[in-house]
Amino acid sequence: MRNDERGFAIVAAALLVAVSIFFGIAAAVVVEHSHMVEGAAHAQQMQSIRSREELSLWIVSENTVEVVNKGALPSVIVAFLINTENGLVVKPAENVIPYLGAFENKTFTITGEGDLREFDVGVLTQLGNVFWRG
Amino acid sequence: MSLFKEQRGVAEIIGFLIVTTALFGAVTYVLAVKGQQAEQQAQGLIDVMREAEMRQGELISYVYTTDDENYLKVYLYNYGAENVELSRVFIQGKEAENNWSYKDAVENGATYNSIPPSKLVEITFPITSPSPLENGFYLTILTKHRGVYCWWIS
Repeated sequence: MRNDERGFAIVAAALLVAVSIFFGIAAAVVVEHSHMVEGAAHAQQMQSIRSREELSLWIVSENTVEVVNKGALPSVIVAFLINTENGLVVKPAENVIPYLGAFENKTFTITGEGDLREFDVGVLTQLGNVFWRG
Repeated sequence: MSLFKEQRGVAEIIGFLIVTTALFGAVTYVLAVKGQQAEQQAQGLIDVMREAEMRQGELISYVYTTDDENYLKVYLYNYGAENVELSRVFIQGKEAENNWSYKDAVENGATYNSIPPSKLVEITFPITSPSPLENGFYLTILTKHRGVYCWWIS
């Protein structure tokens, strides 16, 4: 190999390394950006689903609450909220799986808080919505 | 004659070494300085995007507030996938002291350093009479990843 060819080969190799480094950095930025866009899409999707959730509830008897899913999407009840004189009481569902399919209704038993008809009763769903009686 | 030829060969080699060293030095310098700058800038961009990504994963909803003479209890639910850590809380524009704890509202006794995903927590803030709930107030929350939430509570 001639000297000028050697010099050219060295410069070409160095440029190749430099270009690889810059492309590597750019690729890392692009990957991170795609994660961010994915996260934004997921958050928007979550808000959209959340706004479509609709539950109604009423007190059937002293310690039973009927919950109706009026929306077209399933709902999961995290807890019942009872606004008593001593503050808010949070109770998980006791007797049945707290899953309500679309347009499904279920009756839940809540014991130990007295007559539920005397208090404001609400439900908290897995999507973070709160629905109160009435 | 042969000596002259040998001298010419030496000069070419020395010339080649000088040019190669200069080129290599210049390329190394550019790679070191500009490459580092580009990496720093890219890292900055990546950090900003990661922070935004974390912020998008912070999803909390306001559930309820109760009060007594000395305390305001706020119930928040994390319906996202990330832990949510509050950095600053303002009650009707006044910053609350940063010594609150996150008590699980469903599982009695459990406490956390942040609001874990799918958890309903009770956060207690000391207040002075009269309670801000009497006339209603704005609850403003800033999270660790710079998310901002504001609710009117009455």
